[in-house]
Amino acid sequence: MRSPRPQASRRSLRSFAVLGTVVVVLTQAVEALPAIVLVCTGSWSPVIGAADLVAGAGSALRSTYESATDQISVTISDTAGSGDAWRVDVRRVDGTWNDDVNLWIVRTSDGTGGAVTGGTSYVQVTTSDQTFFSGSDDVSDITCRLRLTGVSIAVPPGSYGTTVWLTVVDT
Amino acid sequence: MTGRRVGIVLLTAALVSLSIGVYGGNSDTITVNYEVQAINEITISAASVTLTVSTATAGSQPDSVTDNSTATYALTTNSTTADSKKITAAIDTAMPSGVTLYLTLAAPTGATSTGETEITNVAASVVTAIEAVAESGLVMTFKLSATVSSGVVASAAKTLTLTLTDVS
Repeated sequence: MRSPRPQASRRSLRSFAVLGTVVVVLTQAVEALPAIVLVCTGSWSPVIGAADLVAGAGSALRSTYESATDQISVTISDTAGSGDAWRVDVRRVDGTWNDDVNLWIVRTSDGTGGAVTGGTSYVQVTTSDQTFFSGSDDVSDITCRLRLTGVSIAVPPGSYGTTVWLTVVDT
Repeated sequence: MTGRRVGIVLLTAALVSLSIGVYGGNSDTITVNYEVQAINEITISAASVTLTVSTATAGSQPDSVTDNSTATYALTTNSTTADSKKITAAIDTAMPSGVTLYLTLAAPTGATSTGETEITNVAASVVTAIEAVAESGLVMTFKLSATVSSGVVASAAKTLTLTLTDVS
């Protein structure tokens, strides 16, 4: 009587080879997925001083400050075309920041190229990802505006900064 | 572990990788920096205050005169506890002999008035311990007194300067 072990062993090896091939193919497929690219340009550095008092001595500071409407430009590229939908999330990573002060961002143009929706009302930029706007296809020069709120004389003199992260997610 | 199990594990890993590949994002950053400068603003509401000593009770020094309804001051500062401010007051030239000018400032919230303070051409503190505050309509009380030894003093003008400055 022949022992079944060599045949079972061959089957296992064959299964391993097949599954290994599948893994390689899937891995290559993953590597071959075109990654959507987001590039943003711009920065904003407002300076708040005595000229920002509402009515001179005895009055409060203006609480809200806005950048130019095209302070930030966002370009989405390397999509798979008009059927390739994506969304952009936004969050901030603080350096020195005053908790009384809030940062907001709003989309001020549709850019050029594919479709863009949402983000036309101010979105508060927090330390967690927030959905900012969505779209499809490649779109260039989507302009955005920034806003600071909550500024007051209770904010001590000094320099404050944060890094705003914009992330494109292929949906 | 059999070859089949190993294969299943690897396949699962590949699917997880695939999932990451689909939902992973590409990011870029911008910086937002803002600067809040030191703000120390103070103004006096009235252009002038006139004080005239003209009466006396027989046997006593002339009556001093007081005005607390003409002038107020306003200030805004974003100073902190570690960098609190004070207000000093000074006039441009010394008062004549025998004539004394006093000033009392109402303190803004959280600060301390030094009370009635003689004002000369050397700065004197009139309010201390001022931290972040924005207030207006704070009363300034002027008092002018004279002694008989000063005689009749011709009308004169003095320029009063209030300065918001560091405590230390």
